[in-house]
Amino acid sequence: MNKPASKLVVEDLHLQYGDNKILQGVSMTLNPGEVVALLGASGSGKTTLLRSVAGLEQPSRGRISIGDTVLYDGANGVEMPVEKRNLGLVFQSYALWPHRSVFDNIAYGLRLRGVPASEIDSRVNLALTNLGLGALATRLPHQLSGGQQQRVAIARALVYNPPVVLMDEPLSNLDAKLREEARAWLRELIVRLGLSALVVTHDQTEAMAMSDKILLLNAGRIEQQGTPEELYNRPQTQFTAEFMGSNNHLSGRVAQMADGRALLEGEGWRLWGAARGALKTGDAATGIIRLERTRIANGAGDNRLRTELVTGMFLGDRKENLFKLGAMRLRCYGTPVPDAGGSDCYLELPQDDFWVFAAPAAAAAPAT
Amino acid sequence: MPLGAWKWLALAIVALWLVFTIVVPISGIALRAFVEQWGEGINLGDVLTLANFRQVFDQSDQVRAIVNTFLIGTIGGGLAVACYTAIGLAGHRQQGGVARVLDYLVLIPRAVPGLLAGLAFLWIFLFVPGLKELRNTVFSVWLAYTVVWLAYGLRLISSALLQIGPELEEAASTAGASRAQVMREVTLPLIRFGLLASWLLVFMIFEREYSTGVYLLGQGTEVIGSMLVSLWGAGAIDQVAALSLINIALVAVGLAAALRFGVRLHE
Repeated sequence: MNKPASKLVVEDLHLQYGDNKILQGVSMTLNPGEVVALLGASGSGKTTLLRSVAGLEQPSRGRISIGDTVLYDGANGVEMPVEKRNLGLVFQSYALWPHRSVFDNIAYGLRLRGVPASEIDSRVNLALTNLGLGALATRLPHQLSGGQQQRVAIARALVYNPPVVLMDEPLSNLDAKLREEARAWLRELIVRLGLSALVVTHDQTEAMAMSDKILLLNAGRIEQQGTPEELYNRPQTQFTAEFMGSNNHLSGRVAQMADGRALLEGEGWRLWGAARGALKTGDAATGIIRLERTRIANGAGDNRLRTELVTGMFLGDRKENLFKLGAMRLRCYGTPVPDAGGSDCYLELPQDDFWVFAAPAAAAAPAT
Repeated sequence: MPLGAWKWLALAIVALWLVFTIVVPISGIALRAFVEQWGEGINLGDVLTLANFRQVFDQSDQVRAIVNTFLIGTIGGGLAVACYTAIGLAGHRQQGGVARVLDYLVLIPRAVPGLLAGLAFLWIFLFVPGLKELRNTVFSVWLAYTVVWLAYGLRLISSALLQIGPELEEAASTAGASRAQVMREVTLPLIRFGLLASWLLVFMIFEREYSTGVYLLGQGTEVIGSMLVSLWGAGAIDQVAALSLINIALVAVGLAAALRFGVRLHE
């Protein structure tokens, strides 16, 4: 499938329903052949942004363009109708037309474009083959499994070669086991066909696995954007840090600052960490470290905590342990090494992986 | 909910209700249609007759009433549903003032008693040029019925439209279908069963409607309903009973045929 090489650009997009501001100035770029994930909790505006690009929502301000084509321009009153935008959209519910066969579902976009019947035949069949749906052409949607329906929905959105494919939570309707396989399959398909895709998801693992770039949205604004590695390893805000992985949290006060490092102090413990954002001595702060970066140590040392082992949980591929330090709970993977026959263990929190964020007035921690 | 022994009482109440509201009136009409007269001291076996029906079929206006009623219910009902669908689609997924005003506007004819609406239509057909010529055709009755039952018909259509997930239509728009194409190729095919059920319900209403047709009653515009009112006024009880039974039979046959061909009133 050949792709017209054009870039999707969204500039300063605003959208509101009444007084409810859904998008508050979002800008982003999607380069040809790139997959961008719109990540966020529910209500963050990610689906609204996707639907605005598709033309299904009416923004109040900003600009959306693909290459030289302006889809929306609030300043000049340009708003291209949905059907003229030539985009492919995969709905969360798949939205297959129940009265049409798989073949007719996929062929509809081509028929609307006046493609000759013989070419429709060959292109739909190619799409069916590409998506592993070969034998299902004459079935009706309700005769398909969830995974097959998803493939039909994707085939339907791809068959007329849109410059950008939009996907709204494409995997969320599949059950957990199938989802991981579908994720790998979808990533392979996108790479193999060289698609430009904008994918909405609320699952950070899914976002990281499928995309080249992630836009993390929080309450209608972009919290941080970058490659999956950047967001996971170098979060700029506590929100990003919390959203992107499983973490241990330690609340305390900054006791000392030294070249980009902060000494976080709590009841009976002090740890050096990498300072994030504006911090000064005496500030309340939160230290965050990924579970997998928290290490079990075999004795006292730098940046180590003496904690009490509460319990261990067997997860199959690894073991997760729960430790107690005062009122705080810490988790980490591995085999605990109890100190001198007791239940106390030492945990090491490497300085570079222990991020110290200024405690926000009202921390909006996502449920991860 | 288990009622225990009380279920027999409940059953008896339901049975009694059905007897008094359906069995007694209908069998009464049926009986009256087949006798010359009834009353105390008359042996019904002696007065059995088919003369009432012969009388009905001898009068050309009453035959026309039967044919007109049948046509208004079937073809007219279908056309009315088509009109309601067109209006329903025009307001479908439209937000804002016009759609809401339309919503209330269509309620007005329903708020007016059928008799008054019929009178209004009589005047329209008497005085409006272009419509005057249609005064003596069954079209005038059909138009009056369709307008009077507009609100009800639109409710039927909009409840069918509400069953469609918006994303099915959005998917068609994104694929490149204009608003008209979305309606023709997605919305309408998806509500086809709802439309058939609406047709059946409108058929039954149009078969039984009488008040709207009373003032419009004239040569060519006879329907059973208005004919019954007029015959009762003239004291022709025999024919009222016979015509009523024919009316009931028309509704029953229509209903049976529709259900036989798979129209479902409840999805």
